[in-house]
Amino acid sequence: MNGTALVTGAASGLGRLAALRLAAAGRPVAALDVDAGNLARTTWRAPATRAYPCDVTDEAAVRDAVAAATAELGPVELVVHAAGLCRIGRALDQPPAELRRVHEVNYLGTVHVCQATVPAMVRRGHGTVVVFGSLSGWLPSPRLAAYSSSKCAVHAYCEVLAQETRGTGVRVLCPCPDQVETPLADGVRAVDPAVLGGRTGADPGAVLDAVDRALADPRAPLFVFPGRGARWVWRARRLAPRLLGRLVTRYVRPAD
Amino acid sequence: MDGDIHDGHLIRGERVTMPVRVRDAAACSATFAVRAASARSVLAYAGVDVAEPWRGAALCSLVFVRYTDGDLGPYHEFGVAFLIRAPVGGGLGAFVHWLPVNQPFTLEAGRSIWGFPKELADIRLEHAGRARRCVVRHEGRLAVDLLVRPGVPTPGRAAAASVDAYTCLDGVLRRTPWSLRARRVRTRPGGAVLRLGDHPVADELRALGLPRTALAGSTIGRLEMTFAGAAPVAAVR
Repeated sequence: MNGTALVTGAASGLGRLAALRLAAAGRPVAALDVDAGNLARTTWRAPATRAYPCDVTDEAAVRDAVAAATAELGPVELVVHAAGLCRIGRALDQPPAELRRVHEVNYLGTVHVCQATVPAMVRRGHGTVVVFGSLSGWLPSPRLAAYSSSKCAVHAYCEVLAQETRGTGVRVLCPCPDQVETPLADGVRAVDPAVLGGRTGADPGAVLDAVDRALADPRAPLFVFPGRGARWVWRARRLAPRLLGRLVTRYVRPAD
Repeated sequence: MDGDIHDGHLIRGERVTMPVRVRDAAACSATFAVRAASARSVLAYAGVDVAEPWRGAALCSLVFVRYTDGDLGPYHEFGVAFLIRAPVGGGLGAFVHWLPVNQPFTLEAGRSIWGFPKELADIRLEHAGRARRCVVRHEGRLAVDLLVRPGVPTPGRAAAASVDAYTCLDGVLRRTPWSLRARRVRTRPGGAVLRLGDHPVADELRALGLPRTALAGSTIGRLEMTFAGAAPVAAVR
């Protein structure tokens, strides 16, 4: 596990922390993000890390970035796809352009990154793909129609990808954290804190620790739920969906 | 290479200004009681004297740190440190005896700015599990393999602390004011498993009576630190 790691969303939040941890361990890291300015903060004084500013919604740009990273740093052996976007709004009122952007970043971004990296892993017979899903993809809540549905699509894509790459040596892992204290959560809170139920999220470091533990365990399942709370919510969603639905509408009371 | 205090230090073409800040790191340590006489002979090159918390015993700490967000970039570090009597004035200090790192920028910055005894090594850290582990190889030899078992949350340690770190590189003893703030600290008595290799530092640790049961092991989930510029204390010899 010393080959090149490719991290998307590396300018902030979970992606940035994942890139820094990999760089600290001395791994070559290809850091991708649409925010070139903050991406430079991630690669600062990390000699094995290179920045590839790119928008994951642009299929050609993703392919070019992966090709450049492979040429400069070596074959990609680990992908950490953390790029994501959240825009909140009522299901009936959210502007279609905004909804489309959320789906393009979260769902199509995942597809583009996987299509650009996984075939080479299959050819080499090994590789690991970590795609960040979300607990909200399993448990939608008011004002998160666009985000929850896009993450739900990401989960489905990951499951199919895992099925289709079975036996190739490629491993797919989809961590589904509950709310995490990152700029994404800050952005939601800035618009309407009630959408997050007024809760404080998990520490990004603890979420990545859970991912590391899952990576170290060959028997860990495809979907990883970092933190006891996230696992509990996922079980409740399957075992008592109506009760959980009532709790969600009771505790998540958006302002408008 | 060294500039003055105002324009900082030029390291690999980049300016490093004082104080150097570490905004996010995770650390683990194991502290051992060792024979004071053996510790004195290990530290003879620096001309410093170990503190003796009780008669005939000195304290030696083995530490490993994963720096994620800091002015010297992301890197791994391992350290061998001793509790010493401050060479000037009263009080105590931490003497850093060996400080391998795994990245070239921090290597050069550490050596030239503070005289930290940094060397380039292969440092593997496992920080995610309940037990934390660090394996250090230097010049193809295993130096240490240290495992620290989880302790109980220790809220009292969350407060900030200020320590003077002492180093002795190329015969120059230096003092570096060092402040740190630790959060998510867990401590326990014992709890460290140490395996020594065939590296010269491992031989030194063996001469100190290691491996043996640690006094305490601790893990720090989130560590913030500040290092001011170093000041020479006195030239040895």
